[in-house]
Amino acid sequence: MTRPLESLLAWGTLVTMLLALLGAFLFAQTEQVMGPIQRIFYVHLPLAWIGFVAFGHACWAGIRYLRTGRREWDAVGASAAEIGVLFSTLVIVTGSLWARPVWGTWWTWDPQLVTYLILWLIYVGYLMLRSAAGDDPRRARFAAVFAIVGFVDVPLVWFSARYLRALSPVIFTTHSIGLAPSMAQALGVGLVAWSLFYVMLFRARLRLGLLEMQVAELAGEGG
Amino acid sequence: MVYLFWAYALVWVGIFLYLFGLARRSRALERQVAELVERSRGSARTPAPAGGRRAGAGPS
Repeated sequence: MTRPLESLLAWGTLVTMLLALLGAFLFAQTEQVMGPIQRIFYVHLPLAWIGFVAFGHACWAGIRYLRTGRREWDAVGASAAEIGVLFSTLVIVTGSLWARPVWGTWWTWDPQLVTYLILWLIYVGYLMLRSAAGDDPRRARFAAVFAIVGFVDVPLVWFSARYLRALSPVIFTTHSIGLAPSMAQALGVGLVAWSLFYVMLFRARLRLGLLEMQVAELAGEGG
Repeated sequence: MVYLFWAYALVWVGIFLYLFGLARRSRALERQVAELVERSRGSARTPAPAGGRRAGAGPS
């Protein structure tokens, strides 16, 4: 990516993030049943969505690594999974802070929450595996397989809210978006803002990962 | 309102902590690169003995 494009991405992220905050707090109408606490939704759902994208990205990188054996794909997978774990941790935290005043509990063993927790644990395990298993192609192969298998849980999270008795509201259906127009617009801006932020964060993390890889190789050659 | 405040605050605290961690890793990497450059300069300055083996490379 060229320098003007990088600065465009940075400015685009900053502007959309500010618009997303304004949208969440000022533009979107207050939800009638839950009141202002529902505004957590405008950060909770985009983080969850981008978390899924990040895990999908890690899965794709795992497939590419197994097919090509190129270590760059291993770095892509590690970067995407790390950001995915960060975002999904924030999803669990914001979800708990939303659930406490609305459901009267920090946590409940709802199918969607349980499958999401399993997803989080799988990718935390992925990161632990990477940090514990040394630095060789075997570790990269294990990690790739782990990322691919872990992604199987994403559709389970998605469909558990639809087909099992879940407490979490279903917003997107095949027919409509279950939101008032101002809420949907605020959510849309939030999704764009967090998507751009993911791209920025991923690029920074990948650059670091590739450099770490090269430095480790050079240090190995130097003795 | 307290929960709403904490939700947004914790999201940004989490993001900043992660960015701080990335910056720390980047600084550690810079130090490592500087060490490697220094080491390679040191070995380049030392003349190779007649046998062709680099001086200071240690016993093998």
